[in-house]
Amino acid sequence: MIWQFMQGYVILQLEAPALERILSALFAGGVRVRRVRRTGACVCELEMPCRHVRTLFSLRRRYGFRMRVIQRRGLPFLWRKLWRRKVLLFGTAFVLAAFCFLSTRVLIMEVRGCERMDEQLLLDTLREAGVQRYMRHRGVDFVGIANATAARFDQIAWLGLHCEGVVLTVEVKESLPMPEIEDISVPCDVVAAKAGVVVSVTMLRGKALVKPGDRVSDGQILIGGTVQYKDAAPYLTRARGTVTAAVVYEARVTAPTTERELAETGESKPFLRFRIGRTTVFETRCPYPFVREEPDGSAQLGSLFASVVLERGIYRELIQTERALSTGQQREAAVVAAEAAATAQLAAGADVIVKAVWTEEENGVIVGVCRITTEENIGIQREIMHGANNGIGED
Amino acid sequence: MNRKKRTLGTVLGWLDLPQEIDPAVFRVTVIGMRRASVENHTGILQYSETCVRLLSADGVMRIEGKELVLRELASGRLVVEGCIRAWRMEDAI
Repeated sequence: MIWQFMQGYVILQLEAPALERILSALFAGGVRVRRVRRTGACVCELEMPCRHVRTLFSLRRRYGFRMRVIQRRGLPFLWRKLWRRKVLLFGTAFVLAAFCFLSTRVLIMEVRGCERMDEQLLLDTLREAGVQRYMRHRGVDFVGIANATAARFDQIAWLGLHCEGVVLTVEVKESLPMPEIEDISVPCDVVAAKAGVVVSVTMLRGKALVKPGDRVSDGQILIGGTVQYKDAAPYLTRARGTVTAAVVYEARVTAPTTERELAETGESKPFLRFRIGRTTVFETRCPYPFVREEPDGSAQLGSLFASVVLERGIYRELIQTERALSTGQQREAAVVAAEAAATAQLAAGADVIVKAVWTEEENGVIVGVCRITTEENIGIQREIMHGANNGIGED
Repeated sequence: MNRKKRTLGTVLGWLDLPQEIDPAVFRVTVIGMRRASVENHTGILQYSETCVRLLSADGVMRIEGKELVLRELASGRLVVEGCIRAWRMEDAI
């Protein structure tokens, strides 16, 4: 069909008493005919390539039929019609040239897999290497640039640059952080970082000195690094394990009696603002430190490439004032503040088991109290400073 | 010609090869009820919107239907499109 369009074809109307004879003659002559449609008793329409019309003329002499060209279609006829329209041709040529030119350039850059690595830093480094938007992508050694860039950053394990069409994809595989290597030659105990009630003990090395249900205080040894096996001499090791304990956090906050709020002073000044898109081109200077803007109307002046807006309004001056709180408001504020203070003390990864919030009165002052009970690992390693290192080994 | 064809058919039979590989055999392919492709016919006997009759070495073939259009008429191949109701060989035994 496309080839037929490129070659050009005509739609003909044939009128003859015996159309079948003409069709058979065309068929025998090797003429390619399409869409033969009977429109009357002795009339039919058909499509035929331009180059075969001469064959039809020779047949007309022999069979004596009438022939009429209904329509001419295809690129040769379209070209004949359009070639005088210079602007259209110029525009078409320009669009084609722009298309061809832009298809050789990188128009979009996508970065994938950048989580810990600074994406902007990576793009800047690639720009130094010549990889940026609007660059010509043919003949560029993307593999070499990717390898050189990846070698500059420890965070990058592998870097890939793939260009598909006009989209350049920067694929980053970040390297895993180095695991902390424990020096097992230094003996230590596992001690309690916080006071609490032991819930479970998982000992990996050393000797457990507490059991579930024991109340422990801050700094108490939970898993000892000094180990003695039967009658053998004691030796020091690096104790290791997890001791989970129920820890209570409590926060007490005195309720505020007043609250700060912004109130209008009564002073005001009209303002005018002119914006193009998101950029403010002109704005009346605001004389007050705290203001509330009261819009008085805006006019959209145009929106061809970006919105052009003229805004009018009034600046209302605000001032900070103290407002007395009622007892209910004081209790509410105290509870909120106490809960925030208690939550701020929680360790990362702690599981909250119980949370209780209430208010009390102390010497006529309302106090908000929040008590949170968590389950968390309280064991931390502490080096054994005393004694000699007698036969340090692993159990 | 007929003798040549018969010989080719016999050879194909001996070799257990399908008859379709013979390039000169009359072949009809009907796709659904909208399109029929006829290969190796020798001419058009009759064409109207309701009936197409084609001459072939094996006899006269008749395609009946409604709004029949000769979609393509090229060397040795004819494609009929439309609402095809039936097709048959007129002088087949």
